[in-house]
Order: sequence, then structure tokens, then C-alpha cells
Amino acid sequence: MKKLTIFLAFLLFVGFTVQAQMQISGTVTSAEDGLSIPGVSVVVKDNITIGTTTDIDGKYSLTIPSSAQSLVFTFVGMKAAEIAINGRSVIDLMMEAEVLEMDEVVVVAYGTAKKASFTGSASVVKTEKLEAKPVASFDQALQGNVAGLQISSGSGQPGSATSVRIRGTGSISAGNEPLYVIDGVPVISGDIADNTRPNDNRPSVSAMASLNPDDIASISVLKDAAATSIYGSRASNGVVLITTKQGKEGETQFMLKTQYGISTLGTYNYEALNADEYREMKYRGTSNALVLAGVEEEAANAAAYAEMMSLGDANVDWIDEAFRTGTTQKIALEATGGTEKTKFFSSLSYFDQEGIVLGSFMKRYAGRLNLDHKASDRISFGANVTGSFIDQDNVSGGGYYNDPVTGAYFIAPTTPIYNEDGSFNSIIPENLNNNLVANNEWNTNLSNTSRVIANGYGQFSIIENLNWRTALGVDYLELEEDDYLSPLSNDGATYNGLGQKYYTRNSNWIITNTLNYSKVIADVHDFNILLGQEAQDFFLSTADLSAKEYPSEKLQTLQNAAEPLTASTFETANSLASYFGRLEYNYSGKYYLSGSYRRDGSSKFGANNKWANFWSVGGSWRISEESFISNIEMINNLTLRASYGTSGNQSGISNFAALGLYGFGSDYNTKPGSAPAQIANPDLQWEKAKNLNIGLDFRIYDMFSATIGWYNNITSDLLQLVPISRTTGFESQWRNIGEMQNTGWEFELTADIIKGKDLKWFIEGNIAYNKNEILSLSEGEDIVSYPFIRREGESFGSFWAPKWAGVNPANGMPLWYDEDGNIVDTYAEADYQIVGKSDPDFMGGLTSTWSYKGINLSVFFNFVQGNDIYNNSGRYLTGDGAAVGNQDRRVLTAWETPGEYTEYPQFVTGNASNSNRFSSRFIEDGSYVRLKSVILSYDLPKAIVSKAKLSSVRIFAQGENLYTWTDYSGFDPELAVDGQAWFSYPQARTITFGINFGF
Amino acid sequence: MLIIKIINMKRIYNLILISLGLFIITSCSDDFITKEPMQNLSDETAIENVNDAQVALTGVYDRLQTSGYWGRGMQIYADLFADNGRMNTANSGRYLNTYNWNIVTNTSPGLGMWDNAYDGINRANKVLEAIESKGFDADDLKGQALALRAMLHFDMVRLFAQTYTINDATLAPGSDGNGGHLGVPLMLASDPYAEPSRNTVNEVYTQVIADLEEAMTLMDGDVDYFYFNKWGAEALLARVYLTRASGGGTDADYTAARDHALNVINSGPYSLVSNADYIASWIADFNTESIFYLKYTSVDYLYTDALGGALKKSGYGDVVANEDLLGLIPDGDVRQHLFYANHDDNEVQMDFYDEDKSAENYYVNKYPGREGTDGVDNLPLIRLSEMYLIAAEAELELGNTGPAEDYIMEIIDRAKPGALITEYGATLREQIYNTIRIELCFEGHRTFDIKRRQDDIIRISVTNESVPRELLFPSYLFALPIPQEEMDANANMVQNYNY
Repeated sequence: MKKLTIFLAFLLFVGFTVQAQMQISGTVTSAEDGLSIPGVSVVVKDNITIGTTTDIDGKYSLTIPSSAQSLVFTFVGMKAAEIAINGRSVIDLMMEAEVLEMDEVVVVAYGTAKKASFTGSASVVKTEKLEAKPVASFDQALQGNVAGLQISSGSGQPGSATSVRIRGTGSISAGNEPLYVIDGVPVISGDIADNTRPNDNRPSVSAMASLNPDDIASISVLKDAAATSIYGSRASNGVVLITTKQGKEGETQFMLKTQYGISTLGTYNYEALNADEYREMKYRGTSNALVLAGVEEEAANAAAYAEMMSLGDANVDWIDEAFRTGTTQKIALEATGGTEKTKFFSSLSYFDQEGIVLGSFMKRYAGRLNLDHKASDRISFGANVTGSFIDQDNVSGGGYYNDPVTGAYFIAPTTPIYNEDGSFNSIIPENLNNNLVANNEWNTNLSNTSRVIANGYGQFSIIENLNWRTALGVDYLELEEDDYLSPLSNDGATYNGLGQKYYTRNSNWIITNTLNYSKVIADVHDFNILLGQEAQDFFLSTADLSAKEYPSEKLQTLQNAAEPLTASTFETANSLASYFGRLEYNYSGKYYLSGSYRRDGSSKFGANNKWANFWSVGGSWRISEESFISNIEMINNLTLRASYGTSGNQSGISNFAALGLYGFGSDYNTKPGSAPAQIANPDLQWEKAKNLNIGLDFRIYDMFSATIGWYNNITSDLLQLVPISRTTGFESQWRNIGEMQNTGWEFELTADIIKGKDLKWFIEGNIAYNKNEILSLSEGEDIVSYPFIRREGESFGSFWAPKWAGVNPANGMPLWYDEDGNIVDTYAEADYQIVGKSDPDFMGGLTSTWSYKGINLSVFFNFVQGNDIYNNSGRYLTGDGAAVGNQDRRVLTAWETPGEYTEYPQFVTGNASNSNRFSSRFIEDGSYVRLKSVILSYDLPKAIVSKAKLSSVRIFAQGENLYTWTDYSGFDPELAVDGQAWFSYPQARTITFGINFGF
Repeated sequence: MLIIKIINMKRIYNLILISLGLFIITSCSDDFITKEPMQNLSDETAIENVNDAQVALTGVYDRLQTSGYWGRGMQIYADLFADNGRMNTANSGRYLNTYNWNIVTNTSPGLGMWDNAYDGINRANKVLEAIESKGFDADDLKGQALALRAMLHFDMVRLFAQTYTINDATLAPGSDGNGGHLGVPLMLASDPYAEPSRNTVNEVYTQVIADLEEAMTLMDGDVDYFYFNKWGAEALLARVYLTRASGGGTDADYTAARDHALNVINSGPYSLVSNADYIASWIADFNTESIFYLKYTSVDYLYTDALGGALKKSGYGDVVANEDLLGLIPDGDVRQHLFYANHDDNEVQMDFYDEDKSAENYYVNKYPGREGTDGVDNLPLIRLSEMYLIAAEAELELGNTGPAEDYIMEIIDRAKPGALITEYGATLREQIYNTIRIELCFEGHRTFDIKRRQDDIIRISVTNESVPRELLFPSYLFALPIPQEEMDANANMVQNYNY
């Protein structure tokens, strides 16, 4: 018996060995670039023990039994291919990139989701959109790339903060900025400059600029309740989830990125008068004023001539002095790699941007290490750590005479920069008092940001499919601001040198514990349950110091100053404790349901409302999976989504707003005094939002994809300062009153128009319509908040101004309308009315990308339409002679002779006609279309690259803010924050070149 | 292998324990979401001892200092609304409505006074409540708080109600010559949700007198120039009684006014400033007749918004002396030196107001600015001279012309030694009225004096012809409107007639 067994085994063995075998070989290349792909797995179907992988040249060779029917090729990121052998001995394969978008993974709150299973509304921006941009922070690259997201830059100063609105403005008094979450840590965002600084030299310092945009793998902008509710009391303005690059298994790959470029003053519409024109306008102004005062024309002209001659013969182009060609430089080294157990991504980067305004720059030094380690099948841990340091030289805020941008337009061109002896001229007429060239030399306005964002996690698989995860995150941000007015400068001379120093320290921590369970029952019931708990603590402390009387302008630290002025510290804190959960279910990949819940307790809330509850439900139906659709060839995907839920906004509640407080500083006779500072409001709570979202996703002909969304967001319990009887000793109190609605449509479209082997053409675009309406206010009463009115039934951004009726052709005097539509000729008779709105009707972006054999051209337009902007600077630059300083060349067309039709009133020195007072004359259509960027890149062929022992080389050129189509007459329609434009640092037109080396 | 496994398992359990621990630490308790402010103290902890109460009381004095109230607003209203001041021909536009009697509810000059006084009253009430509830041994603090509350209520009733003795059913419904008409709300307890209605004028005076009388028993009589003391409370009481008596009130009130004034004169530690020291006393920190002055230092003065800034040529110089007032001051009266036409600097030495009295504007130099800084002046709220003037007016009304003349001569003789009383008016009444007008000008009295006597405002000199000259009693304009802001927020508030 035993013998028989051995015999049979032998027979079997022989049988195997004698079975017919054959040799098969081939090369695997990429359909995208034709380059060979190493490491592709090639196995025999139904017998995966027979297989191999391609070598460095993409070649493979395999001995297979002749019975084998087909081979299966798989590679990460590529579509798996099953190729029938059909007796061939050579099988070459061109693998296609995997673009199954429904399998695309989207980063969502507390995890990731397959796009197909996500019932919410989110837009994703991938690293490609961010990498080559010559911008200091990623948010500047979002405009036009996300449907329903609007960015206003506010300032073109390198390192300044932006303002972001998602799906309109939801709050009147509270914040309207979204919540930013980086790798699970809700972080500090916005402008972090010390807000106690005087406005005339307070810069804008962006918290987001401390993050290297190249480190970002993807940004998810969460917009509806199903996506955001789980962030509870901070979610109603939307959530921006930022995920940084994670390590990839495999040999360590390095990438060296270099980029260099120049920037110039881009879109600007103002051209100041030159010296001759300035003299002419002065002459006209003086002469006109005298004639109007009854002086004989001849005498008036003589007097005007004399005054004109007194201006001197200097001819300075102050705009040219204030602006320059800026530079942008970026050098970064990235490394990624790892084993099955340990993966890492690491980067070091240097970003150096010299602004287009004299004396402005920003330098960022940043490093990152993202590490993941699998200790065993059940335990893994990791950390994402980034540290950065920013050096920023600021020009002061717009609109003040010490601001070079303002000075450039205000200082008369007849004012010399230097005295005859070569020293700086410090006599700047008309009280402007600031020689911007000299100030740049003498004064400093520096800020240094140091930031560490670190989060570590540990994950433990308790049983199969049940994971425990604990993450601890830290966001530590320190800002040091230096403001020094030299004794040589006019502003500093009063103090004999003034040194001011502001320290700001933010230290926040967060701990998140989650339990996640997923289970598929009977193959069709797919459950995913998340339970979590989170606690976050915010602490802010500031120190402001100043001193005067400096012995020398060469020493700037406060120790050198003889007289200390202020020494003050400030501290504040808040904390948030939360519980949350989410349930996701789908049936057979056709019907999806999700529900989420969050309970937030905040130190900011009043004692009677310490805890807030939020929830959402969502569902989607993949119609294309239904049998009645699935056989329609043209439809690749058709999904209907809907969600409803609540979220909140606690940003408007200052840390101790709910408490009854005594304040100090009510001093008398040098003795400290105290006084009641705030009435307790134990009912004070978050603003509430209810979001309804309906969406439709489809893809047809494997070419066109679209997402169409409709939403209706109602925010209620809006914080309003409600007047109270002043016999109480108080004037008003914050209460939760008021309701506002944002409703709109969003369309996101992509089209693979040409999908050839070599030539490809891809278009993507988005457009978003939003309508804002205030539903209710305290007692239904209007709130006039210059230049706006908040009125029930009207848009939040309704401008409220006297209505302009033009220039009277008979006498060059201004005309306005009263409320009955009659033309009136005095400002006092003009009536305030709603004359426009700051929120756009629609906005969006369009990108078209062509690629041909490694050459890639991408053109990106963005547009904002139907919004108005209050061009406040225009009141000064297109004056009627009332304002001081230089003027825009448009005033040359000011009214001169009776019967003349012109937009500009007669130029009269000391004009009291009020034509330049606030009116609809300066509220303009802010619509624009902008050629935002053009990128041309070339990936060198692998053949050439590999000879240089490199894995990839990309050369690229890129232009930013190239051209703008607009009727807006001010600086730049994108600079207007909340519809108001003032003298701000203009955005630059930037052209950069770069080379990236992979090795 | 086995050992390693055990270690691994231990590690895992530790991890779970640590995680659970963190879970517990960071959740569960409401403590985690309770934060105490660092720059403020909560209502509960703000006043826990006598020192805290002292600090809170200092906060009441602080409220008097604002430019909307006793830092400038009261003095400008009292002297510009009447006939002591007029607008400079060139002005910044401030107070034009006050001068032109263009008083409307939403731009009322009374807003700053209303807000600051009631804020001060609330601060005082908080101090009183703390002393009461915590049982502090702090009589002096309590006395000061009561005196301050009385002063603030008294200001309010003088500003926002018709005078006590009016009897006019149209202008002051309910009036009966005895304060039966609407006064102002009496706020005797701190209540952030209060929407009080107006008490009668009579009720307000009764409370003011009660507060002052209690305050006098609690405070000592030590000189304390910049705070209320016993004498300050008594001096104010004299003013309150005189105000209540004027225009046909009771002899009892005149008597009380006189007696309290005389008690301050005779028993208090104060004496009239001499003629020689008179001008210099206006730039001194304090002087021998300072009963209660509002102190300003170079740290907390109001810069250009100070009273000195409104009056001085080197400041806004918006309000200048009316020639009517200047004309009443005889040559040789030291008080002529409180006005100047030409000086444009901060020199201590006063300029005689003008040799030929023909300058376009005469600036008031009662507040020249200490240490050469415009606006650093201590403003007299109560000074001894007023006690002589109250005594004189009360005696006059009581028919005691002899004592009346004696008291008024104290002031006249100090201003111009050897002066004849007739230089100041034809009749004793005129002499007394004119002396009060000159002596207390730009200290916040004039409008109130005219109003309580039920007199008319008659301006002879005005800045330009469009300015109204006569405001005849009775007129709705003798009471300021309740500010629109209060009307909007308080459903129980009733507006004054004709606003």
C-alpha cells in the first residue's frame, strides 16, 4: 500500500513535469507616456503561484503551462488587465491609468470614503493644482478650482492672509471663514497679526502660509451637512480638510524641485498724474476756485499760475519708486519610500518671495516628516510633523500715509525724493509727511512666524474589522512682530525713535479617540460605524512692548531705548469637548445611507446652553447600477444624492462672552478702578445652520462627467448686538437673533475630449450660483453697517448709499437722486438707498489641459460675475479738488465748459460740492474674468533621463494673473474683501520657470 | 517566541489603558469646558473684600471723567445752551445744535450724560450691594457711593425733566409745583434686564436727599479734594435744596439750602482763595476751596476732547465767552483775566481779556492746562465759593437782604477788593444773579440756574444773526429729550413733551 502511494505520487509528479510548458515574454509600458513600467505583477489566471514581475525595463519572462488561458497584469494606479494568451509567446501590454472615479478615495471627516459611497457634497483639489503655483499659501491657489468657494486676497503682500467664503455668507456678526483641518488637527487660520496693533502699521500675516503647499496631497472642501455636521459647532461655514503626502512603499525616491520667477505690477487701473499734468490740474483747480469765488478770470489765472509755479520743477514717478520687479524662488527636496512595514514622506523647502512693493518680502523655511509604521498585523502608529519658520517684511496696511502703496498715489509728482545735498526730502506736502523711499530705508515692520503642527496616532485592531485609534495633535504657533520707527523718519521723530514689539503665542492641542467597525453581511449589506470622542484646548497669549528715545537709528531693540512706554500681556483660552458618531450603510453598492451625530460642549457657550447637538442624514442611489440602466452603454455612472442636517458656528462668540464680567482700567487719580464690563448671558449659544443638499453625479460616453448640486442653507440664531435700556449701565448685549438664507446651484464638469495615445485634451470647469437673503433681524429693524444695510428680504451685502446721478453738464457740479427718484444737487438732499450688492451672482473657473508626449499645457481662467465693489480709493484718486494728493489721470477729463458731458465733476481746489462723498458713484460692477494661470511643462523622455541616472525630469514655465477682463475701475476686483476696496497692496503678475528632478 | 508575545500583549493592554485614561481625562467633566477669563473677573469674584470695593468705587469716579459727561459735556451744555458761551465764528461743528437750540432725540447732547450717569449709578449700586451683602466694614466707601449716586440722579433730573416747581399740564403732565411730573428712573439696584419707567421729579429729589443725608453720616470730614467727603455731600445737598426751592418752592427748602451752605462755610476745613491767588488757583492741582474737584492727570486726561480743548484757542476753541458775560465783569475784577483774545500758547500767565474789548473771540482760560499740556486740568464740581452764593440767594429769597448782601460781598470783594456792589447790578437780586453767573461760569451751572429760577434765556450777543436769542420760560426745551437709543430699547420709557 505504501509503495502504491509513492508510485502514484511519482506518477503525479511526472505527470506534472511532463505536462506541456511554454515560454512567454513581453514588455509592459504605460499608455500615458509610452514608458516602460517596472514592477508590474504578471500571473497566470487561476494559478497565481505562477507569476513574476517586470524588470527595470518593463520586461518579463515566464514559463507557463500550456493549459494556461490568460495572464493577469496588475500595478498600483493602473487598470488591471487580463490578456488571453491565444498561443502567443510574446505579449506586450500598454497599461492604462486607473481612472475609475467612483473608486476614487475622498478624504472626509475622520477618515476616507470611496467617492461612490459618499453621500455628501465635497470638492477635491489635488496636489497637481497646487504644486507649481508661485504662491505662499495653498488657499491662494483655490480660487476658481472649487465650485462655490470664493477667495478674496485683501492684499498682494507676500504672506498675507486671504478671506474664504464657501457657499456664500452665513453670518452677520460671527466669522464666515471655514474650519481648516490639517491631517485631523483643526488648526489656526486667517490673519494672526496682533489685533491690538494700531491700524496704520498693522500687517496681515497668514497662518496658512506656514504650511508648504507642496506637502499637500489633497484638499477636500466639505460643503453640505452630510460632510460637515460631524464637525459640529464649527462647521457651518464649511470645512477644508488638508491631507499631506504620505509615504509610498518601494525604493526611496527623491525629488528636487527648483523654481524661479519674477513678478511685476499686474492688474491695476490707476495711473497717477505726471508732474506736468499735476501742475495743470493744480492750475485748473485754483483758477476754478477763484472764479467761483467771484474773482475776475484774468486775476484768477494769474494767481493760479503763481501757485503752479511755486510747486517747483521736480518730476518724480512715485509709483515707479514704490513698485519694483519682485522675485520668487523655491527650492525643495522631497523623499518618499519605505517598506511594507514602514513608510515615510519627508520634505525640506525654501520659499523666498520678494514682493512688488518696495520693502516687502517673505521667506519660508519648512520641513516635514510623515511616518507610518506597522508594528504587527494589529498595531500601527505614525506621525505627521511639520515645522516652519517665516521671515516677513511687511509694508504697512493700506490707506495710511506711511503705506507706500497709498503714498505712491498720493504724493505729488512735484515732490522730490532727495534734497539737493542727496539726503532724503522729508517735507512731503499736504500733511502726507511720509517719504516712502526714505521710510523703507529707515523704518522696519517685520514679522516672524514659527509653527509646529504635529500629530501622532496609534491604531489597534481589537478584533477583525474593529479598530481603535487615538490621535494626539498639537498646533503651536508663535508670531513675533517688530515695528520700528526711526528717529530719522517724520513719524519716528516725535518719539526720537519708537520701537514696538508684539509677541503672540497660540498653543492648541487636540486628542481624538475613535472606534471604527466595518462589516459586510451576506455580501450585500455593507456597514461602517464610527464612534469618537474629542477634546481640544486653545490658548493664546500676547505681549506688547514699546519704548521710545533711541540713542541711534542703528539700534532697534527695546533695551537701547531710554523710555519704556508700554508693557502689557494678555491671555485667553477656550476649550471644546465633543462626542460623535457616524453610521454608513449600503446595499449592494446601489443604495447608500449615512447618518452622523455630534455633541459639542464649549467653554464659550452660556451656562444654560453648554452642549450643542448636531446631526445629519444622507443618502444616495447609484441609478447606473440598476439593471434597467446598467445595460445602457453610454451611461457610465449616474448617482443621485441628498442630505439634510445641522451644523453650527461658534466663531462669533468671544471666549468669555457669556459671562458677567468686571473689567479693569477704569482708573481715577492714578488709582486702579474696576467696572462691570459685560452682562452675563447664560443663554448665549452657537449660530445654527440647517443645510439641505441635493446632488446628481454622472459620467457618460466615458468622456463627460458632471456633478450638479442644489442647496439651501438657512442659518438661524445669528448673533446680534441687541440694544438694551441704558439705565442698566450697558448699551447692548449679544443675543441669538436673526436668520439668513443662502441657496444656490453648483455645476462641476469634466470632459476627456481627446484620449489618444499621444495627444490628450482635458477640460474641467465649475460654476456656482448663490443667492443670499436675510430672513429676519432683531425686531425686524435694519442695521446700517457702513457701507452696507442689513435688511430683511435683501442680500447681506446690500450697499446703502446716496444714489449718484452724474455730473451736471451745465455747471460741472455733482447730482444725486432722492428716494423719489428726483435729481437733487446737494448731498444733504440725496437719499440713501440700496444701490448694489457685494455678493456675486455666480463664479467659477475653467481649466483646459493639452498634453502631447510629455508636453503639457494648462490654461486656467476664473471668473466672478454680478457683484459690486465699493471702490473707496476712487473717492480720493478721482477727486474733484477736495482731496489732497495726486490724482488718477482720469481727472484730466473733468468738466471744464458748460454743456460738457463727463463723469468727473469740475476740479476745484478745496471743492465743497461733496461729489467725492460716499455715494453709488463709487459702487461699481466688480465682475471679472481672469486668465489666472498658464502652465507649460515638459517631461523629458525616460530614455534620456535614465542616462543621467535620474528617474524623471520636468521643465516648466508658468504665468500667474496674466490678464483680467473687467469694467471695474479700481486696483483689482479680487482684492476687495466683502466688497470693499481700499488702497491695498496689488496682486502681482508672476512668471516663473522651474525644473523638477526625480532620482 | 512566547515571551515576546506576552510582552506584546502587555504593550497592547497598556495602550488600551492609556487610551481609556485619556478618554476619561478629556471627557466626562464639564470642568474641561469651563474657563475663567484672565483679563477680567467674573461678577461673583470681582468684589470680595474692602479693597475690591475701593477699586470698584474708583470706577464710579472714572465714569464722571468722560468727555460726554463732567469731562466736558455738562459744562458746555450748561454754559453754551444759555448765555455764558457762544460758538466761535470758526468752529469744528461740535455743539452747534446745543447753541442753536436745535435739540432732537437722535442727536441729543443728553446721550453722553444719560449713558455715563446711569453707568456710574450702576457701578455705585454694585459697590453698595457688595458692601451690604458681604457685610464689609466700609462706611466711608458706602458714603461716597451714596453721594455719587445722588449726584448722578440729581444731574439726570436736572437735565431730562422740567424743573421741580413747574406747574404746566402741557409741558409737564402731572406737574403741581411740587415735582409731581415725570422725572427720571431711580436706579437703586443693579439689574441688567431692567426696563424702568420714569419716577416723578418729587420721588427723585426725595431719594437724592435721602442718599446725601445718609452719605453725610457715613463719611468723615477730612479734606479729600478729588473724592466725595462729608462736606462734599453736604455742599451738594445745599445745591439740591436750592434747586428744589427755586421758582416758588418752600421756605423750608431755602432754609435748608442756606443752613447746609453755611455749615460747610463755617465748619468745613475750607477757605476762599484770596484775590492774589485767584488766577493761579486755576492752574493749581487744588486750592483752599476745593471741596470736590474732578482730577485729571497727564495719563488719563482727554487730550483734545478735554474741556480745556473745547475752550482754548490752542485746542478746538469751539466755545468762546459770550460778550454778554464779559460785559458784566467790571474793570479791575480779577476774573477778567480768565479770558483772553490773542494768546495762542500755554503760558500760565493770564492775559487780560483785551484792552479795547473788540477782539472777534474771547477764549475762556479757566482751564489752561497744567504742566503746559492743554486738557490737564482738575475740573471743579463743588467749591466753596458756591456755598456763599447759595447762602446769598437763599437769604434773598427768604427776605433776609442783610445776610444776602454780606455773603455776596464776600465773593465780590475777593474778585475786586473795594468794589461797590452796584458795579454788579442795579438791584440786590441782579447783583446776586450776576455774581453767581460770573463766578461759576463754565463750571456747569448757568442753564440749571436759569431753569430752576424759571427765568428766560436772553442772549444779546450771538455769533451770527441766525442764532436764536430768546428762550422764554416755560418751554419744552428746558428739558432734554430722553435719548432715542433709550426710547428704542425700553418699552416703559415716556418721552418728554414735544420731542
